[in-house]
This record gives sequence, C-alpha cells and structure tokens, in this order.
Amino acid sequence: MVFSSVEFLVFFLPALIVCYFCTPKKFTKCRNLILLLFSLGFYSYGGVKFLGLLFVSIAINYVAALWVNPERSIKVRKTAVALATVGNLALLFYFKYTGFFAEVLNGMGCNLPVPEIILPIGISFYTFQGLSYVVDVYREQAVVQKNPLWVALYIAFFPQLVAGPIVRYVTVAEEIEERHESVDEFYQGLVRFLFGFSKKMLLANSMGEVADAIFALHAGNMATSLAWVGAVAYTFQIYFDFSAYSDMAIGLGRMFGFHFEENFRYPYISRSITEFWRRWHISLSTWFRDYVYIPLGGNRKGSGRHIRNIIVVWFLTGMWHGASWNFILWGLWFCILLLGEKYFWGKWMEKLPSLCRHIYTMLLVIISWVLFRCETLLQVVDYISVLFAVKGTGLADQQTIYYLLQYRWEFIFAFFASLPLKEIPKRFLQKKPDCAVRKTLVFGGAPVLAMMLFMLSYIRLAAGSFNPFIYFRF
Amino acid sequence: MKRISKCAFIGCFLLFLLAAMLVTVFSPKSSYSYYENRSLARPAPLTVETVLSGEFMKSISDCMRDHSAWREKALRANTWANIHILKKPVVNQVVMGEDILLPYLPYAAMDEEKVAINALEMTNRIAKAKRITEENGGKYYYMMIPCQYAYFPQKYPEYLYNREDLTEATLRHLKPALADRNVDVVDMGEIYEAHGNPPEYSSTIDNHYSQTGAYVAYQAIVEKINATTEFGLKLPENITFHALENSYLGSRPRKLFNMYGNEEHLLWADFGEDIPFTRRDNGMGVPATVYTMPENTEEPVLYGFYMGGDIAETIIDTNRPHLPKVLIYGDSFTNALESLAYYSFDEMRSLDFRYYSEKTLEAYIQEYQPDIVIFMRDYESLLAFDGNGIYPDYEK
Repeated sequence: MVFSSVEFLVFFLPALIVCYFCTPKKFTKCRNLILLLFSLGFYSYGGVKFLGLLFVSIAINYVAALWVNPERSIKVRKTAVALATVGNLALLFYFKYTGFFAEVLNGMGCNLPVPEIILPIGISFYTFQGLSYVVDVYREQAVVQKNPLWVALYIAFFPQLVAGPIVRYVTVAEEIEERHESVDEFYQGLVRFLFGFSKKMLLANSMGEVADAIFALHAGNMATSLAWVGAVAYTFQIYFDFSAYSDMAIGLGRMFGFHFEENFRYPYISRSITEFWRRWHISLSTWFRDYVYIPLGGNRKGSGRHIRNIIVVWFLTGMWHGASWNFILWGLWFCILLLGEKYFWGKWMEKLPSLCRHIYTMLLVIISWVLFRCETLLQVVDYISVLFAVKGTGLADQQTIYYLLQYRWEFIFAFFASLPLKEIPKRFLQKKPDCAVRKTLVFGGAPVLAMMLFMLSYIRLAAGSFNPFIYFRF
Repeated sequence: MKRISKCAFIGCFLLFLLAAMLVTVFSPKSSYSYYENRSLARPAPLTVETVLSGEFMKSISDCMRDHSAWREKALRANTWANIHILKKPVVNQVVMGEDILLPYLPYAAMDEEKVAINALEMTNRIAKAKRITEENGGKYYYMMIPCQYAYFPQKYPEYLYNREDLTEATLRHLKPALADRNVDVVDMGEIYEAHGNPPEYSSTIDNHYSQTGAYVAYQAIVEKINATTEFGLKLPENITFHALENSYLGSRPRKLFNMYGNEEHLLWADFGEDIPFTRRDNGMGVPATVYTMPENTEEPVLYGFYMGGDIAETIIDTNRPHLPKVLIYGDSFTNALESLAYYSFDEMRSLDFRYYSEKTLEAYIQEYQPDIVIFMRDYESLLAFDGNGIYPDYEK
C-alpha cells in the first residue's frame, strides 16, 4: 500500500485512527498491537506471500538480540551478531542480488541459470533496520527487547516499513513502551503528513511525467537542452518523491506518538558534495557511517585506509540501491567526488563564492541522478553525451520549449519548494515575537496552506494514475 | 495556535476522510466513464493465487481510484485548473489551440526505411483485396482521408509535433506502390488541397472530417467510379444540409469534460427526395435511419450521430436493383460518408473489421459478390496493420 493512494487515505488511515484512539491511553500494549496488526495489513496489501519473509527477518533479529545481550558470554554474543549479520544479508542478497551476480558470473564465462526473483517491497529498509537493532544491542547502545511483538512493531511499523527512513531502535525504544500522544503531536504530525502528501502528488508526480518521457527517448532524438530538462526534472522528482515519503512517515509516526529522525535537510542548497550527503537520505548515510565506515576504521588509520573505507562504503551504498552497474557507478561517482573534496579541491573550493560552489554541487548531483535514472550503462553514456552536446540533435529543440511551457509552474514551484522557505516566517516572527498578527499569520498559515494543498492533492489523486514511490524498489 | 484550533483542524481532516469513505463506498457505481470514454476498473477474481501475488489487492487499488469519492468532480476541477489557471498548452492529451482542439502527438523520430517497408506491406494487402474483388466481378477502390491533425498541421504551435514528416513520407511511399499495382486510389488530401483546404471540411474539435468534407469525398468516389466503370452513378441534385441545434461533443472537448466552449454543430443531409430503405445491423433489423437523432436539443451529440457509430456490419437496402451493390469497409471515417453514399447504390454494406469477425474479407466478398468495394482509411491509419488493415484472408 502506498500513502498516496485512495485505499490508504480513505480507508486505512481513518480505520487505524479510530481503532487506535478509541483504545484508552493506559492500554499502550493494546495500542501497540493495533499498530502492529495494521502494519502487517499494510505490508501484506502488496502481496501476502512476502509477509513470511518479514516474519523471518523479525525472528532472526529478535532471537539474535536475545543472544547478543550483555548478560551472555562474549563468544556467544560475537557468534550471534555474526549469525544475525549473515542471516540478514543472506536474505537481502538472495532476493536482491542473486540474478545480478549470476549475470556477472555468466559474463565471465560461467553458465548459470539466472533466476527471476521478485524483490520483496521494503527489504533493503527493514533488513538494515533489523540489523542495526542487533548491532546496537551488541554494542550496548540499546537494551534488548524481550517482547517479540515489540521487535516486530519496531521493524514492521508501517510509516517507515517500505521506504524508510531507517529508524534506529534507540530512537523509538522508549516510545514503543511508553509514549505521549497528544492533540498537539497529532496536529504537528498531520500537518507534516499533508505537506508530504502534497509534495508527492503535486510536484514529484509532475516532475516524474517529464523525466519519464525524456528518459524514454533515444539519445539520437534528443537535444542537449532537452536532456538537461529531463535531468533537472528527475533531480526534482527524486527529491520530492523520497522526501515526501519521509515527511509522511515522520508525520504519521508523530500522529501516533513516535519521533523519527529527519531524513532530508534541503539537500539542494548544499555547497559541496560532502554537505549534500549530510543533508540527503540522512538515515542511510548515518547507517553506513555507524555500521560500516567507523568499524572499518573511518579516517583514523591513515589516508590509505581512509580511501579504502570510503570506496567500500560507497560501493555498498550504490549496491544497496539496486543490483545494477548503474547504481555501483553512481556510488563510485560520489566516492570519487568525496575523496576529491577531501584530498584535492575541497580547500580550494572553500575560497570560491557561494554561488559557484552551489553550481558545482548541483551540476555534479544532477549528473549523479542521470547515472541513477538510466537503466543501462549504455544509456548512461548516451545520455551524458547528449548532456554535453557530444551526441544528439543539437543544442536546443522544440521539445524543450514544450516541456518547459507545459510544466512551467511545476518547475517554478519545485525550485522554490526545494529551498528552506519555511524559515522565512520563523524569522518574520522572531523580529516581533509578541505580535499577535504575526503569530496568527505564521502559526495559522501553515495548517491553512497544508489543507489547501491537500485538497489540490486529493483532486490529483482521484484524477491521476498510479504512481509508486521511487524508493519502493529498493 | 490554540488547542481548539488544532482540534478543529484535525476534525476537519477526519470529517473529510469519513465523508470520502462513505461516498466511495455508498455512491452508485458505474462501469463506464463517459468523458474518459473507457471502462472503469473491476476487481480481479478473488482466489488464493490472486491474493498471494498481490493481483487482487492491485485490482482493488485500481477500483478504489476509479470509484473514489468525487472522482469526476476532481477530474473536472483538474482539467479546469489546467486550462484556465495553469494555462497548459496540452490538457488531457488535447492541444489547446486558439480556435481548434488538436490531438497531442508525442515526438517520434520518423524512420523512413520502416515507412517504406510498411508501405509495401500495406500495398500487398490492398492489392490482394483488389484481386479478390476483381476475381468476384467487382471493382476495388482505395480512399485516403486526411484526419484532423493531417488537415490542420499548421495549426500546431511550432514547438509541438504534427507528424507532417510521417504523413508526407507515408504518402510518398504508399501512393506510387499502389499505382504500381494498379489500385484505383482517391486521395482526399489532394482533392481538399485543390479546393484550397477549406476549414469547414474538417472538424476543429474531433479527429473526423465534417459532413461537408464527407460529401466532397462522396462526390470524389462517385466521380472516380463513373470514370472507371459503366455504372453512371448519380449524386443527389437537390441536397441541402441542416445543422443540428445540439452542440457537438467531439472527441477533444469530450476529453476536456465539455468545458471548452465551441460553436461547431453536426450537419445532416436532406436529399430533397425520398430514398426508402431497410437497415440491418449485425443481422438484426433496425429503424431505417442513417442519423441517430437526439431526443432533445439540449443533449450534446457525438460523431456516432452518423450511422449510429462504429458497427461491425450494416446493410442498407434501397431495393433499386438497377443500381450496383457496394461494400465499404474501414474505420469510423466511413460513417459520415455512408450516411450519404447509400443514395447512389442498390444495397450498401459496411464492415468494420475492428469489430467484425464472422468472416474474412475474402469470404465476405466471395459470398456477397459486390459490384464495388471501397476501402477507406484516414491518414493516421494508412500503415496500421490491425483492425481494417488486416490481410483479406486473415481469420481472427
């Protein structure tokens, strides 16, 4: 099920709200059970057959966490954490990478059958989430959860189950046992949800229409200007699509008393690639930092080890996104840029005017999304060739004018929505914090805007066609 | 913000969801969306397999979307906003011209080699139909009619594709190939051009030609038949055309939920003399009329006004044995012409192989033994191999 669907909005969400809030507050366990049952229903809506896999993942992490508990011997704990890692990654590898590696080996002369395995939705997210729980318990950063249902709720909680953010157990451990739901929390969460919903319906989907149409063209039929329009459209699409999902997840969590970490902080205002990755998909980059990069030694053991660690992390980041050379190339692209900023041009760049650094960052980010969006390496080469006028029908064409005219409002709104404009009203209020008019404008403006955008989004939802979230396929 | 305001906000949202839920569940369900001209989604059969694979829930999702609360209002609002507020050049696949609504044609690279190969293939099919017709004592004609985008290519904004290159290449390859096989061709594009391409020959809000354009086509085919046979067909001498009062809901305004004002009205012909006939559609007797007259002057009429729309087989018998028998086959462009053409024939039969599957064209001709066979295609489908472009002996 997706948040931007009629069945979620009109049936699932109201039913959950009614069931949850009609249960007295003191029965937290009962409320948790309701959340768990609804979450399992949410997941099985896309196909019941993968529910078993989710249960296996939950079981592995629940049992492993019991065995890595500090009360056990260090040998048992190490064995358990190793088994949990192998178990989790084996599931992920089988469902996500078997076909890819079979193809790679066949390319090297083997003659293996290439199985067609359907990727269970959300497996990359809940595998990492479950693994982080076991490792955190092992590291004694989290207390083991002895109730399997609460481990199940942590892993399967519907807002973050299928497309993140990857929530650490420590973030929600206390809230699973005891949390404070209130009108204020519900209201804040709802407003956040509505803004996320609107971002998806009004901006991400429109930008997706442009990107899909242009990336479907053959490079030989495309002008440089059109290729840039397509790349920029996809740049907006992936940001609004994914950040909208995170907004909705965070908002929904908050409505039920959970507080998830932020996953995006206006990444397109970054002035370096290093900064970009501090602002983009924060839950994934911090996961890799804490569970791969730092355990490998981080930057503490010399340049050589540091470079190796960065390469490993970004190779894995690319692979996490998908079993394809494009994603590996995408990960390595960022690896090179980050190493470059660290060891070569980073210090020099700091002397440049802010605008130049911003242009540099966005140019490289847009190219990265071309690597991400293309389906084959050949398409990457062709598309990039058109971007830089090596191939294609010329510098500009009439199609570019069409897409810019047809989607002009969406491009304009997408541009402004990718900027931290919500800080402006805050500053406006800070100048005269006691002014009643300013307070009304600032605090009343957001919900009114959210509701208006929601109504427009509902129109688009009812009128539009199915458009799944990009990150569902990871 | 005060607590009461927050409660009110939450309440409004929940009330909206509740209302949407009730309307979605309890509103009367239709299986067809008139303005979208498509069937609405239905749930897949409930089986263990469809549940396990997710197919059942996917179909439920499609159903929910198609039957969601206030869907048609939402579609209308979305269309209205796109036309009037966002002022998009293309809305619901319709190009919003100043005085015309055209189809949006996605950019596609024209492949000259493919056009040439397809033109030869289509020529083979047409030549085969011609041979079958002649073997059964008839005469075969092929008519090409410009569809709306081909008639008004200059009406497209410069930044939109009008398929002019594809149309030109198709004609350039097809016509000589047909000439090589001695097929009698009537290209209405040439004839309309010789008349100066008057705008009234084509609809400005639909893919089809107007009744005026159809009448010119009727004259052209009769002249061609008379020039190549001894039949000496007659045209109505005192024909007059009358406009329906009802507004014409062409396929383009239909896609725009009839929110785009237009002044176009459909015409119907009065021959000035009575031509009694009987009519059978798909073997069943039906009222003897070639126009589906609306019940009142308020309801908008569709192109289906002519001949009642696309029908697999229609037989109009005027019981004038001294006149020849004609078989016309083709897509919906045949309809407006047929509403006139029965005047010149004893019996007029019409087949549409998009719907007709009882016999092959070859078998039909062998059984019917028509004096004249006319194959009509619009410029868009000149090289389309499905529907009426199938081989004459192809069995469905």
